[in-house]
Amino acid sequence: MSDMIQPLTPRQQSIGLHLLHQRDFETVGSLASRFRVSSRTIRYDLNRLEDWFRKQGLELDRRPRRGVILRGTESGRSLAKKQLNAPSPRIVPLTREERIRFIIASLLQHPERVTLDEWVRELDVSRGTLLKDLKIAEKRLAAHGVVVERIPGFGIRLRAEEFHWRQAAASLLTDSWASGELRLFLRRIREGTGGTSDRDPFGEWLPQKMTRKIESALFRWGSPLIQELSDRALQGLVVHIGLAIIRLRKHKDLVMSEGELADLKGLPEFLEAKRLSDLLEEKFQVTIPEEETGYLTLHLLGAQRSRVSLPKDGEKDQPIGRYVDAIIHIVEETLQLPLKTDQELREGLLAHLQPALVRLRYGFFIKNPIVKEIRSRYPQIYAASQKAAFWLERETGYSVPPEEIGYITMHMGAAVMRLKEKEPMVRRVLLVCASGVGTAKLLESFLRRELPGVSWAGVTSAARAREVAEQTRADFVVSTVPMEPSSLDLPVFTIKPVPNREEIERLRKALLLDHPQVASPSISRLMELIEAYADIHDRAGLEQTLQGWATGHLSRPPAHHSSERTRYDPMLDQLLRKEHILVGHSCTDWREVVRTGSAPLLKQGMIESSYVEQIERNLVEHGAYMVIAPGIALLHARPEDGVNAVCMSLVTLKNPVCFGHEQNDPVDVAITFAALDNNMHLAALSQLMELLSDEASMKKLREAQTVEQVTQIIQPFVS
Amino acid sequence: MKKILVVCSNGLGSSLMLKSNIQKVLQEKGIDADVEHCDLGSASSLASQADLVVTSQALAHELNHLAVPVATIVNFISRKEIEEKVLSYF
Repeated sequence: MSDMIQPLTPRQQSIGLHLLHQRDFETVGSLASRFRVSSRTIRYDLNRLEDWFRKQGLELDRRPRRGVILRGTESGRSLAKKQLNAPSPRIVPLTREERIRFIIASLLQHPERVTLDEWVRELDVSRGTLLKDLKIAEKRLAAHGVVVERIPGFGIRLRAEEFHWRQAAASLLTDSWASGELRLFLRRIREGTGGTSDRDPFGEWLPQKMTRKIESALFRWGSPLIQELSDRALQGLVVHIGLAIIRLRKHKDLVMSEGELADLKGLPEFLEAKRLSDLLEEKFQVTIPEEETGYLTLHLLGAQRSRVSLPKDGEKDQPIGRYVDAIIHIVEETLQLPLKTDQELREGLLAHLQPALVRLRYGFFIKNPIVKEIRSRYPQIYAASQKAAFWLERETGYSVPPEEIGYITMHMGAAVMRLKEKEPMVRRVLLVCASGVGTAKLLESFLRRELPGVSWAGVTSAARAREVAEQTRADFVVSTVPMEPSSLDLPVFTIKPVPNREEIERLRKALLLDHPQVASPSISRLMELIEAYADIHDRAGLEQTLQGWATGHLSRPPAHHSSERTRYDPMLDQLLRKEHILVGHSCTDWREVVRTGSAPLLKQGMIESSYVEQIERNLVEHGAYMVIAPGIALLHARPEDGVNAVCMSLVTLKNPVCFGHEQNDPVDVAITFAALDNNMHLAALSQLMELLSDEASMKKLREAQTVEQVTQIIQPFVS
Repeated sequence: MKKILVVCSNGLGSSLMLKSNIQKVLQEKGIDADVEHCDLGSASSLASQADLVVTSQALAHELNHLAVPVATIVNFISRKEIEEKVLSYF
């Protein structure tokens, strides 16, 4: 009944208008992508519109496979157009990301209860779509320790300690704020919900007036503590303070142990934080408890800075210096590059690590928007940094998330770049273009910026290349037109007039690595030289000897042979952490086993969903080869299938599951692992193998009831 | 010295495990041999230099075009099976 009187939703109006303008069939799929909703939602909307148009004397013609078209007289069309245009403006549908943020925001705002129906109404999408969005929202909240409870017949509510609530809220706000998109987002939410919703999830969140007031308080505070803060960190501080004030007004206090508070009170930073608290109390008319000042202190200590300010009594007694030295040492050994002499690296890491340790200890989140890019661009440096992070985890007992590894990688990457610049590989490069003018100049300035440390001999046309190369004594040619290297006697790199990133990278490699000192010398040239001074009796024999000598002495040392380098590899217990062990799980088929084993790794962002899909694909394509022994599956794909960190999980199954292996089925122990390169997981893998081949331990493992029992069974195999 | 090539589909999980188990068995018996591992894709080119290819039963049919003998292992962690199937080639 309600269907008859309910007005069209804003989206249905938009779809109606769209159809009035269309003169051809349009498929449901096309409508779904145009309005950014599922096909199911479109079909539902079309049902409503069909009724509505019928009342206007128009017919919505729906055909399988062809789609829909509106039929009727022109006067009927224009009348319908007027009606649809009248009430509310055309809406822009929310994107999936916006819906997810809306869900997170409304859960944080109304933690006691939200219902799916409310969202269905406000966001105007189907329940199915919403449930999918909610699942992602749940994952993101879980990363901050906030639990979403779905209670049938009641709705959805949140379970979170105040600290975790604030972490999640701060993450959401800085996310939306980062690119100044928060306001835009708010406007879209209001438009998207027809502007009538009284439950605007951001309504009372950090209004601009408030953030201005906080900023002016920070300005008046004028502490040296904020002078070195990065922009991002300053923004984070404003969000933190804003949330604190809002929550204090609602009497949502943070809890902190007395011992911890007493420790903090002894720090000079606490006095500064107290001074700020006083200022805020006055400005906002709130009472700020000591615990809150304690958290403010931690936030100040954990904020990213551009420079380091170490205590005056020197860093010698502080573990921080030792940590930094060890991290550099591990990366140096792994990459086989001299990094210890780089003072800039050491200082940069000191500045980074000091607040980072505070963050790690208290589980403060940190954003690293480019961690994925860093990982894919510098995989070896990232892997080496992760190795150092494993060491730091062992040393401090704090877990180091991929975001922090990304920051370490950035410091290391910069040092490696500096090293390459210092190497005597700088060339004098001549740029050759078809005409030598116009775009060539543009390309030159672009390359100058992209490839600092290269000396440029100038720009010339292809016709004059040889002449100019001799005049300018260039030793390398970059050309936008194909050229014969022999015509110049110089190495030539051909590039597009507007090169993309990959090409720049290839050029960079060519410039740095194709140095005569690295390449093997030409054997025939050596033979010529020798022949000029001596008679050769055994030409073939000498050539062979020279060849052997050249490859033995002049090529780079092979990459994986030093046993020294495995010293810092993660051990089995570091990979099989408590939260990666699932005991006595129930799975119905092999796919569920794969997904169960991947779930904890996915949740922590150590692998991507593409990695899980690839494991399944491998099992389908190549059969159950991953079942390596009776009852044991070793599930994995390749690093390039979506791996962010070396990791491993272990699942024991209550009821064994068949994978399709003739002899080794059924499986009751599944190990899922992901590797970043070919060797970092070796130590753990060989310890795992010792465990798997130890019958007594495996019997115990299969019978284990708790995670603790499993970790005890693993322990003897960690050496 | 004989050369053994261990093959699995990715070249970094089960083949590594099997390789180190084979190495252990060979060491126990005092046999000197070179054991390498690789993925399915590289197997064809690398196998020509090997005397024996070892792989899992599930993958054996993808390697039957090789001119080198192929031993298949069912249980990667059973030293007994490795002894039986690999040592017979020495």
